[in-house]
Amino acid sequence: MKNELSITLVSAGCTISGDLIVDHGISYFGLLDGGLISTQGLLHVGDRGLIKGNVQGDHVRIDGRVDGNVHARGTLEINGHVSGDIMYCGTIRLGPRAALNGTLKRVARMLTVEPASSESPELAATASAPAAPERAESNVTEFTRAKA
Amino acid sequence: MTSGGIGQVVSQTTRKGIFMDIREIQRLHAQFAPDSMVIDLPRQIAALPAPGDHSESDPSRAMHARMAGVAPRARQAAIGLAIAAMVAMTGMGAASLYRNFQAGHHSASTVSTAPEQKSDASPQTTEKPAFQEVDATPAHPVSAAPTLSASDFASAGSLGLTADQFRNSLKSPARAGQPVTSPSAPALSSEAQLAAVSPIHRAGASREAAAAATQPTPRAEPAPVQAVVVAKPAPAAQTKAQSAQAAQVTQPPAAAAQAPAPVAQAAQPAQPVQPAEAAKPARAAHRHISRPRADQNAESNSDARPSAESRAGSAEVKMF
Repeated sequence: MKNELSITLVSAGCTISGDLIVDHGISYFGLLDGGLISTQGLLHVGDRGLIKGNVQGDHVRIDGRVDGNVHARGTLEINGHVSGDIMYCGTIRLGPRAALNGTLKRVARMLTVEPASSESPELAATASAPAAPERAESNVTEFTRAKA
Repeated sequence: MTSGGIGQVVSQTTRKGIFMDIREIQRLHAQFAPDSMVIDLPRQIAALPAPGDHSESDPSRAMHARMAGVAPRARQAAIGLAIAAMVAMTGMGAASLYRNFQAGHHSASTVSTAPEQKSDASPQTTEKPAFQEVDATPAHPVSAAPTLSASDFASAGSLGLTADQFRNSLKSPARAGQPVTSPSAPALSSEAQLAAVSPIHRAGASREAAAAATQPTPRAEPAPVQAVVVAKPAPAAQTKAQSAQAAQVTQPPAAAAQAPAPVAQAAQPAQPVQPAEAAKPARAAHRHISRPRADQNAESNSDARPSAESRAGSAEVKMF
C-alpha cells in the first residue's frame, strides 16, 4: 500500500460550477457553485474560499465561507463563516473567527443524515436568529437577500 | 496541535494576507490522512507470527502438534535403547574378556600342572616324557596313578629287594668269609622300616628277636618242615659244612629239648645253613622281615643250602 498523500488543491481564482466529489483530501481556495463531497481525508475550505452548496466530508475544516449545510462524519473545525445547518459525529472545534448561521447538531457516527432539500422552519429560525445581526453587516446576507 | 495549526494559519492569513503554501497544506492533510492508520498494518501483519500460513499449514500444524507430542517419548525411548545397548555391549565385552582370560588362565594352569605331575612322575618312571603330554591333561588319573603305584611300588620294592637280595645272596657266598654286615645294613634299613610297619613282619620280627636270642631254636623249628625238602640236597652238596657246624649244632640242646628227639635229629642235616647265617645274622633277619612266609620258607631253604642257593639265585637273576 502506498503511503502517498493524495489531495486535491484548488487554488484561488478557480471557479467550478456543479458538485465536486473526491475520494481523498481536498483544499479549495476558489469558488464553487455546488456541493462538495469528500469521502475520505480532509475537506478543507481555505481562506477566501467560497462554497455555495452543501459540504460533506469525513473531516471538515472551514476557514472560508460556506453557504450551505455542513455535515462532518468525524471532526469538525470551523474558523470561518458557515451559513447553514451543522451536523457532526465526532468532535467540533470553533476558532476565533468562527461564525455560524444555522443549527448545530451532533448525530451518531454511522448515521448518515441527508438534509432535506426543504429546510425545517425550526432550523431556519435558529439559524437566522443569531445571524440576524451579522446579516445586515455581511455581504453574504445581502447576497442571500438579493437572491431571495 | 490542531488548534495551534489553525492559529498559525489564521495568523498567517491575518498578518501577511497570504494563502497557505503547499507544504502547510500537505502537513494539514497529513494530519487527517487515513493512510496513517493503514501504513502500519503491513508492518504489524508482518510482525505477526505467520498469519498468512494458517490456512495453508493446517495439516502441517496438526502433524507438528502430533510430532511435538510424540517427540519426547521417542527421545526417551531412544535414550533408553542407547543406554541398554551400551550396557549390553559392556557386558558382552566383559564376558569376552573374562572368557579369554579364563581360557588363558586355564591353559596356563594345565601347563603349570603338567610339569608338576611330570616332576612327580619322573622319579618313579623316568621314561615318561613321551606320555606326559597325554597324561597331563587328565589330572585325576595321573594323581591316582601315583597312589596306586605307591602301593604297587611297595610290592615292586619288595621285588626290587628280592633282586637285591638275590644280588646280595650272590655276593654273600663271595663274602661268606667276611663277617661284615654293615654295608648291606643301610640298604636294608629302609626295607626294615617298611617291614616293621606290617604286623606280619612285626610278628616275624618278634619271632626273629626270639630267634636271635636263641638262634638254634628257630632253625630247629622250621627244620622239621624243611627237613623233607632240604634234607636231600644238603647232604649231597655240603659235606664240609656239616663237619664245620657240627660243633655249633651241639649248642641247641634247649631247642632240641623243646622239640621231639626225632625232629632234632632231622634238623641236624639242616644245620649246615648256620655258617652262612652266622656270618650275617642281621641280614637273615631282614630277609625274613621283608619277605612273606612263602619267601621265608624259600629263604630258609636257600639258607639251608648255600651252594644250591647260589645256583638258584643265578638262575633267577637270569630270569630277570
